[in-house]
Parts: sequence; structure tokens; C-alpha cells
Amino acid sequence: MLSDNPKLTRRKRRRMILACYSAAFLLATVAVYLLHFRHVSVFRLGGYFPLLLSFIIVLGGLRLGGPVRPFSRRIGAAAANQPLIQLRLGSRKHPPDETFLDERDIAIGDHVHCLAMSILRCATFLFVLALWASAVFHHPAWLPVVAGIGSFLLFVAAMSLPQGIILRAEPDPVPEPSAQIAGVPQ
Amino acid sequence: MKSPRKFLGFISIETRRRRRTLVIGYYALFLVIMVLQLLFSGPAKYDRLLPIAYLAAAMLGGLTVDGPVRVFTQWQRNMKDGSAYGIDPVRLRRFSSIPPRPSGSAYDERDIATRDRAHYLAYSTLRWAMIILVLGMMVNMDWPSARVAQILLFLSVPFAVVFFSLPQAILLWCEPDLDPDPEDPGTQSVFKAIP
Repeated sequence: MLSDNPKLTRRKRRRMILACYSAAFLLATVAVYLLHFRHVSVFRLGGYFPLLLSFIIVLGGLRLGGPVRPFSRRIGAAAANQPLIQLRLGSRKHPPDETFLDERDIAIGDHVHCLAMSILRCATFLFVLALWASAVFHHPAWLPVVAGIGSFLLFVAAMSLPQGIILRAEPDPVPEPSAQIAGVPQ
Repeated sequence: MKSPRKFLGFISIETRRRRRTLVIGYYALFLVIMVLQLLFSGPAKYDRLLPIAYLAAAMLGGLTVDGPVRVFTQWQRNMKDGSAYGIDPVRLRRFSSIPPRPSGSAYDERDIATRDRAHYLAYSTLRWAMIILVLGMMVNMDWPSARVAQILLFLSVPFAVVFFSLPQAILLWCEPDLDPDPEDPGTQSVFKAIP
């Protein structure tokens, strides 16, 4: 499921994921400070979302070019059928092995989405429970803060969790043995 | 993935048409409940639908053992049959009045692939729905916090309804009807080729 990049080892991938989620939590903390202590409106923080989309794009999965190959077979098929002659206005031609998903890739992609949905289901259940409890307690003052931050973190998780699981769990590819024929002296 | 049981204990969902009717009825019922709740009780008691959304999704199965869709995760099955606590499931069934289900065994490859595919489709749909929702709300960034909280609460009910039930609904919608088993070989007529 990973694109062919030998420099991106498992340790580097895990650090990348850690950095992305740390950044998201840092942004959420700043948002809590601005909302709760500076009384800034939730959607004054709308500039966060392009920032989030940028780091989601960096992870791949939804588009070509990231460390995770796109989950959708349509993206791969469209890239494989692109014309041979290109104007090369910024986009590079992706090799077929970067766009083609075999059975194992599809199975991994589906299973990762199943795992991500299970995690998000628990998180959403807790979030919904918190919303419901706060509504029962007559809409306390912290409800907009909790709702805004919860939506923010759920949005981050929903956009990046499958890619994050793959980047964290996929092992490093085993290097192929050197091409030597048995019995033939080098 | 489909369990050969009935929805709510009495609605038969053996055929594909009935399963699709159940899915349509499920979402239509929630739509009607939401509209009626807003019309007659106003937004004050609207939040009561949130736990109902989860409980209703659990009735479809997947999240719990009692539903037409088999429970999704292995650890839930292990807790149900007691093997998570070190109890032999066969011994537990001996004391249980509920007959063992033929589909209660572990998933095979096809079941896992079907379950994962349904989750992938549900996740992809909800991801784009969430992006559209967030982008739509970004357009109105000048709203006060109280109004934002109201809108989030209002949207959380349909989101929870769809989020908790979409994989089960996809499985129920797409699962084909099973072909009937072939007749018992003892009752089949046998033709012998006479040389």
C-alpha cells in the first residue's frame, strides 16, 4: 500500500505520524485557549482547515504523490490511462506500479478502513454522549468549546486515520536478494 | 455476513427485497421521527434522539450480537460466547436455552472481505460528507458560538444515525439471496448409463 520510496523507513513513517498528530493536538490546544480565554468565535479559526487539509494531502491515500498510494481504484485507473504526451505543467507522470492496486493492497486498504471506522465509532460515541450530556445539563458555557474542538479532532481523525494506520503498521519491504545464479561464479 | 435471524425478533429478512425494505424503512423512520420531534417538541428535546440513534443502529447488528448483521469484531464474539473469560463455548451452550447459531463461528475470508469492503464504502462516503459539511460551515464564519453549538447539535443526530448504521445498511442492501441447497442425494433420481 506504500509508494516505492526506499528512504521512507518504518521509523521515519512513525515519526511523521507522530509529528502530524502532535501538530493537530497543538492546534487544538491553541484553539481551546483562544476560544475559552480569548473568547474568539469557533469559526474565526477557519484558517485551521486549509492547514489540516495540507497535512492530510501530505499523507497521501486520497491523492497520488503521497507516501500512501490512493485507496480509490478510480484514481489509479485515471492515472494509468493518462496520455503518453503531457504538457508537464507541474504534474508528474506516475509510474504504473504506483497507481495499480493488487488484491493484497485492496484487502489492506479495506481492512484499515474497517479498523479506522471502529476507532472512530468509539470516539464518535463518546463525543455524542458528551454532547447529549451537556445538552441535558442545560447547555453549559463550555459546550461550544467542547463541540468545536471535538469536531476539529474528529475531522482530523476521519481524514487521516487510515493513512496513519498504514504508515505506522506497514513493515519495511525486504530487500530482494541480489540477482545471482546458483553455481555461477561471480 | 448476514445472520439468518429476524429483525426485532419477528420481521423476517430472508430475502433481498425485505432487507432493502428494512434499510429504506430504517432511514425513513428516523427522518420522520426527526421532523416530528422538531415540529411538536421543538429543538429543546431534540438531543434525546442521540442515544436512540446508537441503540437503533445496534438493533441492526454489527455492533451487538442481537441483529440481522453478524457482530463485526472477534473480541465481541469472544465476549458473547465466554471464550474471552476462559469459558468453553460448548459448555456454556449446554446451560443456555438459546440454540447455537450456525453462523456464530469465526469469519471466513469472504466474510472478512465483505465486512471490510462495506466499511471502506461507508468511510469514503462519510469522509466526503464531512468535508462538504466543514467547507459549508466555513462559509459562515461569523456565527456566534451559541448558534454554532445549536447547529452542531442539530447535525449530530443525522450524522450519528448514518455513521453508526451505514456499514450494516450496506451489508444488508448488497447481500445477495442464497441459492437453495441442492436436494438430498437420497431423494434425487439416478439415471444409469446402460452400455
